[in-house]
Amino acid sequence: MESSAQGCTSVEAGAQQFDAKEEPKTGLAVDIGAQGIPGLRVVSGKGEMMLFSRDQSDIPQLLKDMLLNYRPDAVVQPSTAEAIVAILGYAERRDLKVVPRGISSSPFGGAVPVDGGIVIDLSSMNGIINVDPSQKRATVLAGARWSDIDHELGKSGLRLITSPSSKFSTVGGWIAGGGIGIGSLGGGHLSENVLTVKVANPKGVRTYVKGEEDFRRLFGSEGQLGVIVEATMMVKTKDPSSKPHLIVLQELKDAIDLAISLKRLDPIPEDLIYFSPNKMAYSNDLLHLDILPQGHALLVTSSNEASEKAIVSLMASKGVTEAGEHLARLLSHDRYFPMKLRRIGPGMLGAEVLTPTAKLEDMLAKAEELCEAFALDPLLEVHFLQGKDSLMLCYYPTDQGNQMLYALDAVKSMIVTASLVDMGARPYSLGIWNNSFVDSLPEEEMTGMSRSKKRMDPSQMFNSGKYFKLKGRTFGIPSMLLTPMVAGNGLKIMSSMSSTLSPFLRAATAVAKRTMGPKSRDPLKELADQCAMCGACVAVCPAYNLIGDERVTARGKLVTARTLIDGGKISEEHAQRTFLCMRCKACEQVCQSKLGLMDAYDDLESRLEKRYKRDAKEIEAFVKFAESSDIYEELIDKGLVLGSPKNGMGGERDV
Amino acid sequence: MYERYHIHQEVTAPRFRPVPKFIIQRAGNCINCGKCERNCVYGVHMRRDDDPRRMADPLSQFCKDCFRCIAGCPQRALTISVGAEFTSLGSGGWTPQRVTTVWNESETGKVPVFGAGYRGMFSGPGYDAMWTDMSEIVRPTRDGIHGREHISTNVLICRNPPFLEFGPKGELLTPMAESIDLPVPFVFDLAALKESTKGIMQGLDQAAKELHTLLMVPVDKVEAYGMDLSSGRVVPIVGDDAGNEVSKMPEQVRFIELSDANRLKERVKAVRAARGGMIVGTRVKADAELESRLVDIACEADVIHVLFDEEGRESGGRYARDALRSYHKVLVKAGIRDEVTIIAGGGIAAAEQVPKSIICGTDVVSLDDALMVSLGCRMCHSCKGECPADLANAPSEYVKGRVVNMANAWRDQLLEVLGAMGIKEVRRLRGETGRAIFQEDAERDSFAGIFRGDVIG
Repeated sequence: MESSAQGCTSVEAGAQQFDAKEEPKTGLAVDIGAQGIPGLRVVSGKGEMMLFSRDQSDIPQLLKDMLLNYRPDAVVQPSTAEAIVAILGYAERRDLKVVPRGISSSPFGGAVPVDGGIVIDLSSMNGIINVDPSQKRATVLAGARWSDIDHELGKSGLRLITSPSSKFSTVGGWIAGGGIGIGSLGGGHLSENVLTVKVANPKGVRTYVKGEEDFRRLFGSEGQLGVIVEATMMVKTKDPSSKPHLIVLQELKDAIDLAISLKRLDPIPEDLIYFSPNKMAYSNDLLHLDILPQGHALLVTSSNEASEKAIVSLMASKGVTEAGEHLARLLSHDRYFPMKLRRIGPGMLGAEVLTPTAKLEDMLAKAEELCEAFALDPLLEVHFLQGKDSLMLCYYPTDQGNQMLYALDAVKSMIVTASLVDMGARPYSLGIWNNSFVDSLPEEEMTGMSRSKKRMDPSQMFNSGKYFKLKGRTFGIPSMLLTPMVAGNGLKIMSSMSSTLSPFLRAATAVAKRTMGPKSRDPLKELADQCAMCGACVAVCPAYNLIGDERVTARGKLVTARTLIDGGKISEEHAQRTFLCMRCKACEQVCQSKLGLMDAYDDLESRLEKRYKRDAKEIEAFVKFAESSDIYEELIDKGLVLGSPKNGMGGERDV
Repeated sequence: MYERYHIHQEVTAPRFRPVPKFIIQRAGNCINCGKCERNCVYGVHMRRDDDPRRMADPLSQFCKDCFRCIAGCPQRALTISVGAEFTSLGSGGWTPQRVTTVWNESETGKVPVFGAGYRGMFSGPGYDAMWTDMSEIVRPTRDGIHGREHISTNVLICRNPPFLEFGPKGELLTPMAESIDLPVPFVFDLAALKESTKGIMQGLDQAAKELHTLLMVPVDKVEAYGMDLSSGRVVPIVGDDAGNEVSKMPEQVRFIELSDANRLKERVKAVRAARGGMIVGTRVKADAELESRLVDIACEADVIHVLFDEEGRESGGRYARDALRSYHKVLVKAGIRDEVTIIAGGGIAAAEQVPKSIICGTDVVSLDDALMVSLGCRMCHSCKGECPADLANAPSEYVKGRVVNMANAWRDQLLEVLGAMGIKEVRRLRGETGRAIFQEDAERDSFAGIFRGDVIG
C-alpha cells in the first residue's frame, strides 16, 4: 500500500522534471489513489484539503462547525472526462456524495460540502478545445476561464457575449451558478448563448442540447445534476464602436426612468448598471482621488454603432449630459473587480436578489432604509436585464478581524435578503446560506428542478444535502435553522420587526465595534482578511498551473498565513509549498481586492522560515522546471495577465 | 623550418570595474519570467543567487547593445540607455567608444563585437572620413582570420636600392642594406608615454618580445626602464651626439632613430661612420614645412618617423589622412618613395586606423597613447589628480597581457580588412588609395553637378 510511503506530485515538462514534496495520503485519499485512475490527481495534504472546505465567503468557524460537515473526505482534480466518469463510478459503488467545484468564486456555499464526500475540482480542466470563427462558436472544457476564452477569441477578432464579473472564474461554475453577468442586457442569460453542455454521470458523458428541459435546468443547478465537463457557446465579433457612457443624476427616480428608457432602446445596449451615490463615494475612496461625480449613476455600454447612436440621441432628447469618457471607462473596467470594497472593511458582506424592475425604486429604498437602521453603509447596484427582472446587489464593508461584528453583519445581510424577498424579490443564488429562501422560487421552477434531479441523478449523489434537502450535522437539527420553515419564517418575522429590532442590532454593533475588535492588528492577517478568496489568482498562477496545488496561489498562501497567525498546524510540506512561486505578480494584477501581495509573500516566507527551513534546492529546481515548461511559456506569451503587454508601450508588438 | 606567426593571448582582466556603455534598467513591472536571461548571451541578466525566483540587477558592463532582452521582454520592463560615466570617457579623437573598445580588446584579445550594428555617424574627422574596400568580403579562401590562405602582415624597415645592378655573370652587384622584418605593421613608441614606471616599461618590453616588434626608447632612459640594447628589440632614440652614442652600442642594435632632423646630413654621416650598415631613422614633427623638406630628409635617412599630434594632425591642423597621402605623393613624384620607410605615429586610436594609415601612405604605424588605454587609461583631458586607472602601479605581467591582447585583436582586424579586400599581404596596401573611398570623393561623385554645376567638397 502507498499509505505510508511519501507521495509525490511528479510532473514532467521537456527534459526537466520536478517533484514537489507531498504529505502522505490519509483516509479516503489512500483508497482513491489505489484505484490508479489515469488523469486524476488526488489531493492528500490536510492543508490543501482545507482550501476545499470553503468558498469566497468566510463563515464564522464556530457556526460552521456546529452546522455542517463541510470538510470533504477527499478532493480530486481530474484532467479528463474519463477520469471524472471513473471517479463518479467509484463514488457510486461506495455510496459517496460528490461535490463538483469550479474556482468557488461565489459566496453562497454552492460548492461547499455539507455532508463530506468527494470534491471534484475542475479548475485544472481549463482547455479551450476549439474556436470556430465562421460559425462564431467556441467549445471549452468546464474549467476554462472566461479571461482565457476571451483572449483566445480575440485572436480571431471575436469576444464573449456575456461574462461573470469575475472573468477568472470557470465556465462550468457560471453555468451551475447563475448565468447573469456583464453583457446580460444585450446578450441575454447565459443559457441563451450556450448551445450544448456535456455532463458526466457514473454511467458516462451525456450531451444536453439547447431546447431540452434538462438543458435549461443545468443553469443555476449548483452542481446538483451532474458534473459539467464541456460546453459549446456562441460568441460575437468585436465591435470597436461599442463604448461605455456614464451619466450621473441627482434623483433616484430620474436615474431609474432613464434606465428604463435606455433598456427599451433598439438595438438594446450591451450592458446597463445603476450605481448608488455610495458606490461612487467608495470608488473615490479606493482610488484616493475625488474624480467620480456624486449622485445616482448609470453606466451604459453600447453594443454596436447603431446602439451607440441610439444612446447618444436618447441622452440628447432627455437633455442629460454624460461624465467624461475616461471615468466611464474606469467604472467599466471596475465592473470586473467588485471585491475591491473588501479593502475598506477589511471584508464585505451583502445580498444579491433578482427583483421585478417595476418595484426597483421601492426595493432600493427599502435596502437603504434597513441598512441605515442597522448602522450599515451599503453600496447598491442594479444590473438591468432583459425581461421583467433586474439583479440588485447590496454590499457593505464589514470587519472580518472582529468576529462578533462580522457575525452580526452576516445576520443583517440575511434580514435584508429576507425583507427584499418579502417584497417580491428572489435570491440570485441559494447555496447554503440562502437556503431558507428556497420557497421563494417559483413553484414550476422547483418542480421542474425536482424532475430533472430524478432523471439525471437518480442515486442522489451530486451535491446532495443542498436545497432539495439541506443536510447538517447533529441529526440535522442545527441545519434546520437554515430551512425555509425555521430560518425563513424567523427572518420574515425579524424583517417585519426590523424597526423594533434595529435599535438592538445597532447597540450590539456599537458594543462589538468598541470592545470585540482585536487589540492590535497583524498587517499580514489584515491583508489576508481583505482577500476575497475569489480565485482569480488561481487561474493565472504559473506555479499552480504547473503543479496543481492551490496552496501555491495567492489565496492559498493567505489561508496559510491566517492559519499560521491563528496558531494552526502547518505541515513541513505545506510550508515548503509556499515558497514555490515565480514572483511573476500575475496574482497582483488580477486581484479583485487589489492587494499588495509581493510584500505579503516576503513577510509570510520570513515567518515560515523561522519555524521551517527554506528548501533552496527545491526552489531552484522548481524555477528551472518552470522555465523549461511549455505551460509557463504559454502563460508568459499571453502576458500572464490579459492585456498586460499593452501596459508598457501602448499596443501589441509583433516581436 | 617554417613557423606561422602566432600571438599567444590570454584573457587579462581589468584592474578596475570597467565602465559600461549601456545601462540596462529593470522596471517595477518585471514579472521575473527569466526571458531576458535566456535571450542574453553575454550574461547581463541573471536570476538572484539568494533567491532564484527573482531577477538580479542587470550587469550592464556585459551589455553589447544587441536589444534582444529589450525586444523579448513580454512586459516591456527593460530600458537601455547610454551611461553618463561612459559618455564622459576619453577626449579628442579618443571617443568613449574607442576607449572601451581598446579595453575590451586588451581584455580578451578578440575582435570586438558591437552588437546591434552601427547606426551612424557614418563619417567624421580624419580617418573617419574614409572607408576601406570590402569588395572581396565573401571570398572564402582569403576570408580574414579564418581563411585557408595565409595573409601576411609582415613589413620591412630598411632602405631599398632604387634599382639592382647585376654583373656579367648575373651576380648581384648592388650592395644590399640591412633590413628588419616585422611580423606586424606596428611598433611601440615609448618616447612620450603618459606614465613610464619600470613596471609598465618592463611589461611593454615583454609584449614586444612576444610580438617580435620594436620599442622606440630615448637612449638615456634605456637603463632606467630596465631594458637591454642587446635584446635587439630596442630602437634607441639618440640626440645631437649621435655618432658617439652609436659607437657605444652593442652590435644587436641595427636600427636607431635621431631625435629630430636638425643637422641631419651631418649626424647621419656620423652614425654611418661609427657603424656601417646601421638603419638610421629620424623622428620628424609633422608640421607645415615637412612636406617641402621631405625629399631632402629621404635622401639622408633610411626611415622617416612622422609624429602627428594626439589627435592625429599636423601642427597646422591637417589630418594624417590627408598629410600622409601628400607625403607619399611627394616622394613618389621624386621617384624615391620605395627607397625609404615611413613610420607614422600619434593619434592612432583604433585597429582600423592601422590599415587606413597604410592606405594613405605609411609603411609602419607607431603606437603610443593606445598602449596606455590598453592598460586602462581613460584619456582624461589631463592627468591632474588621482589616476582612475592607477597606471603607476600596473604590474608588468598585466601590462604584457593587455598589450599583447590588443595587438592580437588589432592584427586580427587587419587580417579581416585585408581578407575583405582580397589582398594577400599588407605591404601591397601601402599608398593604395584606390582601396578606400574618401568622403569628399564619394560626395563629389554623387552630387557634383546637380546644383547647377556647383562642386561640393
